[in-house]
Amino acid sequence: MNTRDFFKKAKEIKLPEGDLKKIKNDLVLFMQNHPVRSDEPVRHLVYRSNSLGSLYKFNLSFKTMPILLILALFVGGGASVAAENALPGDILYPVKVSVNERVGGWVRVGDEAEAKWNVRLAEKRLTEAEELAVNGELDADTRIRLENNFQRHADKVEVRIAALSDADAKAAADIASNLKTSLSAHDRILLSIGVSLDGDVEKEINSFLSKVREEKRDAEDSQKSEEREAVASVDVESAARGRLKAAENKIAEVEKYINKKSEDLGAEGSVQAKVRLALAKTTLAQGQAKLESKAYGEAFIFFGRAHAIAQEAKLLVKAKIDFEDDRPTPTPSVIPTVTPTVSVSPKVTPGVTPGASPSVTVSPSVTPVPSGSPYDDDDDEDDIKPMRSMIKIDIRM
Amino acid sequence: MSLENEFTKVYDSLADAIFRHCYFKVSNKEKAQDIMQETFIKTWEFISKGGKIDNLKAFLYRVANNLIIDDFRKKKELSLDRLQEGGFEPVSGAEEEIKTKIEAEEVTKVIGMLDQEFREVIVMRHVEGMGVKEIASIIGESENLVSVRIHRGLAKLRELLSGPIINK
Repeated sequence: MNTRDFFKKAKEIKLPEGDLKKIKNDLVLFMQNHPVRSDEPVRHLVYRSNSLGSLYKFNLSFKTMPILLILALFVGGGASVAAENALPGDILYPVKVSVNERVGGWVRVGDEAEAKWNVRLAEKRLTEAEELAVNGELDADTRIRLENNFQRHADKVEVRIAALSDADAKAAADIASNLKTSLSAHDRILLSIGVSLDGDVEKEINSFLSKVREEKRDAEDSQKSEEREAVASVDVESAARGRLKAAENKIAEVEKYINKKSEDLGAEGSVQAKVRLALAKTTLAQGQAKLESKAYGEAFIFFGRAHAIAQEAKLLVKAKIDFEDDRPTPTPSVIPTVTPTVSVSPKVTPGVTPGASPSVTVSPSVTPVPSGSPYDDDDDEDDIKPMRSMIKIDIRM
Repeated sequence: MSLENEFTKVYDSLADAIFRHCYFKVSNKEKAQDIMQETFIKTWEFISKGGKIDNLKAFLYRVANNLIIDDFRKKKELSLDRLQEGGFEPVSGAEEEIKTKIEAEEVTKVIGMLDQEFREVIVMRHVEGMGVKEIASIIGESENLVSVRIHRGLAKLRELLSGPIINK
């Protein structure tokens, strides 16, 4: 016998359906008699004691909580709320990652919930990187840290998708699709940002970009195979109808969003966004045609595409509004404290003119840099923080 | 989806694997079934009391392992490595089921001849189809170690399969 046959036989060792069902029924009964208690952060602390450990006799290796976590919980989460908007480098950032994301993560059970949570976390790291880059603050160390963190979460998503695949291929397909959509949008956002910025930050962006693209390819592969599995499963019709509903809701939601933000978006951006949305609608219509002709598998896939196109449009619109800014940012770090012996202004202007709006040549009021400061270097355009006006997020198809 | 629904879905996807895991360790179908059920019940109990679970699959395996250890401690005369009598009982005397019973016994015998550390990873990898990373996170060892064990375990398995035991 060869090993393959051996494993095949091993896999056939299972309980008969009847037994499995009976155990499941008993389990469900037990679950009904032992409902989940409501979330009380203090209780979690109480249960991290030996009494529970002795019940189960194994080492529940909880990571030791940082003091800040304990304080945050007892003080009522003030710190953790303030930390939510923190970026790496801010003092509250470590609190954000360990408190908020773990608090948000408590009492999550199941591959689907875990996968979605990890998708969110991966996306968070990306938006953080983008924000830092736009502010010119993405250095190599921070980038590496964010990249690794992003990678870890993306890997977890993949593992969960694989685990979810047997039980619920449709859910696995949806998660893979969401991840891919998100990564596509961020691919474009990173690219747009990178193009607008100076050498060093662009380098960091490009490194992140290749990671994102790698993950995007993986997500796409997962999505394709999960969709194939979902389509091969028994109830494709209801899966397709479910996705139709989801796609219709998403398109309506994004349409509302574009209209609401049309002022911030500007004329050009609105048009581009609406073009994308129109494509989503056509794809949806194609799916509906398939549904009518009972090609449920194809309908399922079309509806997924429609949903993804709409979602991507929203992500790009949001990024465009967040990261583009037509007001020039003055260079606040160059505050004069010394006599104007060193004049930097003549050098400032040339480095900034390309593509910048006229009001950028504010050099007369850019008071000269005190000698001895790092801004002393000649020909160093990198010293000037990138003007937001140079960031252009392209959301055309 | 509610927590309860999530959990029952997890049962659907992992019950067989956990049963097999237990079966290869206790070599008795009834016992393995009981332990598998107890594993899910105890896990839900933990969740219902507000416990936090980082990795549910790993948690389930750990609970199962601890229940298995408890069971062996109760019956001190049994040794972990000795095979036990008893396999599947055919529901009827149908030939198909007898065949299955014999094959299951064969598989159990061979797996029982592997060292404990190989048994676990081989089954997880090649029967349950788990990835190395996942196995590593479940048994709490490094990925390298897991890969090495799988490699050595497979070699040992091949040896056993081509040996005299099977050709009885």
